[in-house]
Amino acid sequence: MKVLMTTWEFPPNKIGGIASHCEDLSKALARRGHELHVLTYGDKRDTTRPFEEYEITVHHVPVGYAPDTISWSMALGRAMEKKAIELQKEEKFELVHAHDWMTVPAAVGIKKTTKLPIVFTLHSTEDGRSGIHDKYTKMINDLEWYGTYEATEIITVGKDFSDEVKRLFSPPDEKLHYIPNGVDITRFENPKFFVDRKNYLGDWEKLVLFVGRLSHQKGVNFLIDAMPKVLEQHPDSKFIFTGSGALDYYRGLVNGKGLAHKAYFTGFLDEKLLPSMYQAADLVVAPSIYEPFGIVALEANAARTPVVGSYTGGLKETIVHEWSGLHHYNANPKSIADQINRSLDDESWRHWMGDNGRKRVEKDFTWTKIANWTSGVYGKAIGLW
Amino acid sequence: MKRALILSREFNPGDFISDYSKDIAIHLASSGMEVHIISFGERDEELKLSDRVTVHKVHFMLHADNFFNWVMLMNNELKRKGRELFEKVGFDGVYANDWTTAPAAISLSQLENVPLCVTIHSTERERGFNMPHSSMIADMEYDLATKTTKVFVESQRTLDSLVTDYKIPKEKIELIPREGQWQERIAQACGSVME
Repeated sequence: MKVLMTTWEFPPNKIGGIASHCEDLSKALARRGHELHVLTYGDKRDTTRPFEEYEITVHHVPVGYAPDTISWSMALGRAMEKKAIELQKEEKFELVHAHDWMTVPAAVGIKKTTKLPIVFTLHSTEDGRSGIHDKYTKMINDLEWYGTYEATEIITVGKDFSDEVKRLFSPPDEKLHYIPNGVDITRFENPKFFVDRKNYLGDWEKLVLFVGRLSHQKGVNFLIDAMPKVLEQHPDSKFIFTGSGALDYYRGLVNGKGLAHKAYFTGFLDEKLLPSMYQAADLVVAPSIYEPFGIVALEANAARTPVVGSYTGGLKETIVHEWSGLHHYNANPKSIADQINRSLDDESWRHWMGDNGRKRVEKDFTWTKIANWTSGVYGKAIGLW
Repeated sequence: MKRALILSREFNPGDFISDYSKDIAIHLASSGMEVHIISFGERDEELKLSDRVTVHKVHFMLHADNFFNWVMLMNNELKRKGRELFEKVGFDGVYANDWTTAPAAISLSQLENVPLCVTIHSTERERGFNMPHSSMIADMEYDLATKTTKVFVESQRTLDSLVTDYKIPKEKIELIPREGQWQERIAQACGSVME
């Protein structure tokens, strides 16, 4: 099938998680025999080039100045639509696959002019990310609704998240599909780049790792509040925070507790180093208060590392309690500390959970499997069944 | 019979651009063309102004956070209706009014390979260029003026703005003030573009 995928970011441009998702998904779809064209934002020039050795063509469209992100998405939409009309004369796409609200204006514009059906993947919602509290956030919420309304099929990345989408936008049940994210396990097999544990902690210390944007949504403050109780029982533990975001703010919180020597903030870490970072960790913590999917848990498991994470959203599915990791109560520092302590208490249990997690990722969360499900949704979108 | 598609942001009595579009439609029709007007409306409806002039109002339900974003999304409905009418009746050209119908006008003419005419009633530069979206609106006016075969303006001021601020070639612009037989002049010029 000939598919036109619209995403505001695609490698080498990577800012959020959508770039990686679109990269892995389009590779897997291409392997399955689909012909993928990716339409994405490009800095200054209008360029078209093949993507690595895969059967994927990437079209970059430039966008000029815009006063805010919503208006920018409108300009991006117009640029993408014009490109799509031009491409459609030669390529004859069968559907357009849009990711998140940023390319909703593009996808709908393409649908109205070329009559292609839309498959719309929602990765998160504005309501979950920041709440709807003014005209601006309401407009983003409206665009998300507009996407679900105009789409022929909707894909959500989590089961709980499907319910959230249903509650917010009331799409017909038969349009809504749950397809989890996948993990490229080959990245974790023989990483070419390594982090050196010695750079971060003493060899007597245990590495408790947080990976993600340093923000309220990711629950970083609850983890910091849990630190004293963990250190009381496990003075040999050390907390590494990997990711960009409000670095100074969280560093300040740690310093305020007098625990600066027990925490290290790496800032943004090159993606090539991440697999080895996960492998170096004794335990990964994902204390998010809102998480549609929770890829961190699966990435940790792919590196055979167990996870302590919130019982919320996608983490409910990506962690199996006491089997591939441990759940703690959402936004609850005492519960976070208890579960970290439980797992630090028992090394062999940790290894067992890590191995279980790895097997589960290999079985249930491979991109091949996800590409198969996605193909099914494509088939439904163009009326094959 | 030649057929023309006119796009207008709205179509209501007393509204400046509506009256303008209506006048042009009537004159194009009397020169022997079939004319369809698409505009935003409070509900989807079809009005027959005469045997040869039909108005299609399309509704769009989102309110948006500002006028610019609303225009961008509302244009999707103009595109949808335009595409539908292209399939049903087919057109020899598209006629647009100002930047507010530019996204649909440009897409439809690109999609169907038909010539485009536009009246730019005033440019963003003339209006002061002092709004958050001014730069985006000016980009769109530039895009519109570049993609069309003919640009009509009503005043010397607009013509000067297009030439000096937007670098649009003078030959492309025709100054037709709203006096005397202006509708006939536009209808005639439009008709020759859509030959």
